[in-house]
Amino acid sequence: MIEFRNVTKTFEDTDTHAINGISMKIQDGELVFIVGVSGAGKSTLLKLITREQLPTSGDILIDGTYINHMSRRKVPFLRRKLGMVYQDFRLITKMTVFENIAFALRVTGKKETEIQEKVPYVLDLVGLTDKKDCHPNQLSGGEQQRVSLARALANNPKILIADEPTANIDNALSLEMMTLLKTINESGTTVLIVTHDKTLVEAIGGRVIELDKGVIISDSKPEETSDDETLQDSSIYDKLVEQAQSETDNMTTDTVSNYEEIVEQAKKELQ
Amino acid sequence: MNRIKYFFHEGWKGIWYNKGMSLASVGVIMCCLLLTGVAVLFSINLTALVERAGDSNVVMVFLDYDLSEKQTKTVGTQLAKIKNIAETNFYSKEEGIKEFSEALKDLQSEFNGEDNPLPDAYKIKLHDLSQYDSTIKQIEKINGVQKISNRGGIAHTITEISRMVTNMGLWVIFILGLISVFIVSNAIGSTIYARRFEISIMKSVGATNSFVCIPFIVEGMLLGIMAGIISTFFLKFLYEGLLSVFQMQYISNVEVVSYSVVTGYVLLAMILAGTLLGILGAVVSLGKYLRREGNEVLGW
Repeated sequence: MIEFRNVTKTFEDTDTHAINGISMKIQDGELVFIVGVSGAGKSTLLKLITREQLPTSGDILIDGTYINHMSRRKVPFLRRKLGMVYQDFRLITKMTVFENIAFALRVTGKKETEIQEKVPYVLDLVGLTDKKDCHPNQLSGGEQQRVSLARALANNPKILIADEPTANIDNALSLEMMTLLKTINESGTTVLIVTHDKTLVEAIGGRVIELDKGVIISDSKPEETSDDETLQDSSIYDKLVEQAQSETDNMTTDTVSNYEEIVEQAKKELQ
Repeated sequence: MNRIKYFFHEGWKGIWYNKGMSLASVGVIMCCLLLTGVAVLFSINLTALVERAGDSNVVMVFLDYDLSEKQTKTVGTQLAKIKNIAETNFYSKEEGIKEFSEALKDLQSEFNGEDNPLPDAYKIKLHDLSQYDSTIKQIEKINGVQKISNRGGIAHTITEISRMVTNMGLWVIFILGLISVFIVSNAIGSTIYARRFEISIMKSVGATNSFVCIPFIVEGMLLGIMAGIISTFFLKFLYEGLLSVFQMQYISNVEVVSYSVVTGYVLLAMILAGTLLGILGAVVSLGKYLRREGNEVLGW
């Protein structure tokens, strides 16, 4: 569980309150979207969770541990519980897809035998087994984002954090990525997604925390969200699928079939 | 074992990926090691030279004319008790006149036996020439001592040269060492900068600071070792070349330290010094990166 207790983050150099007295709880296994305009405090919130930054006041707890009081030595072990997906993918271009994922395992001290088993497994999860020997620059944006996701999943994170995962990919692939994240969440992983794409949020469904000027202005939990606002609303979903399908004209055959499979799977799951 | 292999692999990879910068680093460390090596070897030679000069610096303690044999021995015992005196040898007036007359043959018959005008004396050698004055004061207090040959000037000169050589050598090593660390830290800093993206990923997935650092430290170490090995061979030519110039022009009769005798020590010292410089350089440049988090690592 992630808990914020009256957390404030002030940047003294610019005298900005990026986060202003936020209190919230995110339970294990939740799918949470953090939305808001630029400068609302979304990125700062993520940085506080990953301990890239410390709050000016208040406490942040992950699984009952005060991470703001955690020694620097213990921070890497906290981060092993978290998987990060970035909007710019952050893949090492000199390495192949396989090596990129293996790298994340190797630097956390995993044995080579474990790496050889784990990498094909996560590549299979994101549907990129046949791309394992490609370099990132040989992949589409969506594929690169899936590699980034596979890398985040490699260390079996308890919490998956995606920072604008669809910002640099087109609509069809955005839906594909969100569907993947939802599937991961359904397997029990807590998933936090920072996005400003409200249409996707409405389509996928889940808890939505909206920030503005460092304050939570709305927190709609799934049970509070009406059915017609979620993916179960066929009108929004169909609109997205239609939009996505129109984009498939420009895709390669492989991507189209892969994409269609995901859409079909999503349809089945929702019926 | 796998980790050690990984660290060395990554360290070597860092060198290979940044071949140009690595080559420059090795070159700079080599220059510093060579200059330090030359300075050290010359310092060793000068120190040996000074020591040899110091060995011949014997102080004569002349005794009163009317001392009995027992009193003469007492003076010898008291001299031997002074801490800074390394050797005390009795030098009789007969030995004195013999040596004197060999130089001045005309006086040979005139000053023998009862007519010998020289007093008995002790030839002493000092441990530490820098304490010459205080030692002489202690000797002067001994009853039966008439006069002490005043060679304080020579003692001071030798001490000063020795001190200057040691100080200069240390300063040269210190300054060149600092320059080496600065340049290596910049070189490793460039490698870190080139690999900042990997570092940010490593930190985000939970790599410990030591895991992030060690490949760069290994890289610095490998650069230092390479520079040390190459420098040892270059130093041979540089040292022997410089020595032949010096011997031809200034010190043709002086015995110097042969490079072949010290090659093993030089190699070991060069590797150790190179390794130390490489590691220090890496540590200096790593410090600031380890304190950074997330996008700060990338400089965003």
